[in-house]
Amino acid sequence: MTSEATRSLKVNVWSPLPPSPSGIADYVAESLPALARHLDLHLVAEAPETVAARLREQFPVFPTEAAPEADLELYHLGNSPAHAWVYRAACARPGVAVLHDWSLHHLVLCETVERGDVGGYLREMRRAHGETGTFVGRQVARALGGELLPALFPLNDRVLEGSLAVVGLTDYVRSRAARRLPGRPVLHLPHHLCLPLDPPPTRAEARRALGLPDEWLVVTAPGLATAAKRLDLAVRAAARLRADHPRLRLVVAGEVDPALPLADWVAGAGLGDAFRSTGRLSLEDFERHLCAADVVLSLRFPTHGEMSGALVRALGVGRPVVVSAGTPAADEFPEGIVAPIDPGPREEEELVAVLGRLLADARLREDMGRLARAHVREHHDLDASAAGLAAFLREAAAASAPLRRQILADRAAEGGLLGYLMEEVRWGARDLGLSRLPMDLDELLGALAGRQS
Amino acid sequence: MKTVLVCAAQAPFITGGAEILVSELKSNLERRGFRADVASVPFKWYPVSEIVRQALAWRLLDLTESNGTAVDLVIPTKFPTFLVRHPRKVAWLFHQHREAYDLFGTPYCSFTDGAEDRQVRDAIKSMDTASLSECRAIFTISRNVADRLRRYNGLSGETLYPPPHHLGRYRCGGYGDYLFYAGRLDRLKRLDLAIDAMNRVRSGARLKIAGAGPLEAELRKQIHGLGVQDRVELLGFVSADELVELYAGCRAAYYAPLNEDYGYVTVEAFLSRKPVVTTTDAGGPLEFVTAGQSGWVAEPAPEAIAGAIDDLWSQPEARLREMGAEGFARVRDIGWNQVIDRLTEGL
Repeated sequence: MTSEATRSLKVNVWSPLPPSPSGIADYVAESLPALARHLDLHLVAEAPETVAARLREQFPVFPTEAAPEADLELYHLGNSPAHAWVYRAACARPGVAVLHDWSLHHLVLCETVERGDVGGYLREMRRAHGETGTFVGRQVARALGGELLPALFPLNDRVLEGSLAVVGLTDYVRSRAARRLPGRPVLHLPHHLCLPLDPPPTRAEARRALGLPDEWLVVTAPGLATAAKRLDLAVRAAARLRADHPRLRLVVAGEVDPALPLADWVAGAGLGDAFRSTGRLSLEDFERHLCAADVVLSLRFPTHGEMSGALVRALGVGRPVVVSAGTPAADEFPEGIVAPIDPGPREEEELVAVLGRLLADARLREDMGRLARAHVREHHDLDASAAGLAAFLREAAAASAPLRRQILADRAAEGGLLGYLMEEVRWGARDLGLSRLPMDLDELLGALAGRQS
Repeated sequence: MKTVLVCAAQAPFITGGAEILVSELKSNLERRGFRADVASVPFKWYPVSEIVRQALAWRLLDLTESNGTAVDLVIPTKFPTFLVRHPRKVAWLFHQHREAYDLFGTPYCSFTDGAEDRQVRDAIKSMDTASLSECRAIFTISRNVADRLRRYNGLSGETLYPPPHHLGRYRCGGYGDYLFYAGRLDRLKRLDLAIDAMNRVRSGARLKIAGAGPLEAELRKQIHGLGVQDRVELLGFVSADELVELYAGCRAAYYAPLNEDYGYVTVEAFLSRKPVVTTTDAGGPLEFVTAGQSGWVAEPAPEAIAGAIDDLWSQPEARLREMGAEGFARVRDIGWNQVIDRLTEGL
């Protein structure tokens, strides 16, 4: 695959990088060596001196204000404040956006409301979602939006409109981006599998290394524990299942969001010493916990369109995984690879039933795990993923010049009265799916905003 | 035959003074030999966040031709109709969106001082200034409207008073025992002040209020609460004939809105040769009423208004006749021909 022609494409990669606790930082770091076989990569970081030494030894790392000239900017964006600087760059300079989450609502909230700029947030909501955005934004700005409203109003328009192309790690993201940006290059790039221990340890080896007794039936919820991971439900389900499975243990393998009352849930359910929480883990120990599990829980609701790296790893090491139905975790994998449960009013009952079935049937767990491992190894290969992304970036770069001009022209009016008026009109067209409809708004509205003809 | 399009923003199901004026403008254009029609787009002014988008609908219209026939002149009337694009645009400004201007900060305004609403206010002001600057000429229905335009937008407008609806029918049938108000019952007309004043008068004056509107129930409650049912009468909607008769028979008219654009009541009363009781902050009526000569101009407080009414009731009929004549002289020249002449000048 390597050739001088492909190597000559210079790409600036904007992303949090290890040791940042972001899962996206790990994802990007894993992909870089494979991607570098196809592209000339420069890394851009908010604080280059803090980037893991192993990366600095392999790649040139630049601060944001000194990003070198490149053929293409590649922005890795997730829905967290850790990506705020990438978001700002993506809004300022057209590039290719890798959307790890479809919704960027929390990121924008952090950039606006949490900095005291409620007006800025409401403008973004209006720009992206019109009258409904104004109404909903007022609720969310007053912390009345709950978890669901930010997921329903993704606030990603500014990035989408400013992108030369979009990459989504799920079909959820791809299909929405394609609908939002007709005619613009959009790629579905399945989340790659990368295992620090490959081949992975056996269940017994992993348990020995972690000090987990072999006779335990371990249900593991991997990754940062947040409200969306449905751990209240997992705790209650585990407590109910202990009557039939007294050796059952629930393990949270990762950090716990300090705002999450996990200890209260455990105490309330009477789970006691059948619960363990590990805190932040090295990638190696994280993989050992996945290998040590009998069943992995990867529940998530509401979804922001993301694909869990922990889920891909769990499947890659051949573990049966319970996921939330109607989310990319369920939709990206064929039936039988994962066990979906409906995040509806009977979610707990379904979880108890599905977990109970899996815990009671070692053969079923093995069958699911074998299918999962084979599927992920075939469809989520790291090298193939890097090659696919490189080819897509080359195509995007080749076609980028007119699009770049158009994006920059559209942005010229932003921030002023003319931009505001244009958005007020454009939203009506966007609502009808006509976002790129040429309406000569500049001519129609320029005079109203005081522009001399 | 020259074609003229009158541009109207209308709230569906609501017919008020502006709608009647638009209709009469069209009729009088036709009477003067123009081919005239009305282009009307609904306008909803709430919530505040939606005003700009509603207004921009006018900017997107192309009214230069209709079915292959050139439109020779467009006459925008009120916000946001003047956003329309046309090479010959002559505005006859009824009023701007007052909540963004003089009503801002008063209890009659729904704009807050927050960043969102400030953006809308700034946009309205900029759009008004830019779009009215495109006009070949700007006429206003009163000096008050022209003054606001100058103060807030730095633009000049020439006053062109609109004739009242029943021009030619108003008459004087003597000076009866009631004070008269006719018009919509809404908060800006401040009839609560008048009712409160009627509770304080010592002269035995009576007030008849003709018209309907959203404040009717509230006013009725106030009348009962103060126990002035014998002095204040709500007549509801009255026909044109009844209206003319009520003007003809009243002792004087009462009209004290807050900073009114124009105010037909004053002109109708003067055409009926009746003096007018108004207040120092009434706006349009003050262009016609001269205190002590054609009426009373009181402070906008119940006690002061009651004092003016008592003074009115103490005047002999001869003095009221003199004042009525003074008022009549002030409005006698208001007519449609000069309005049409000025609006279509050079066409």
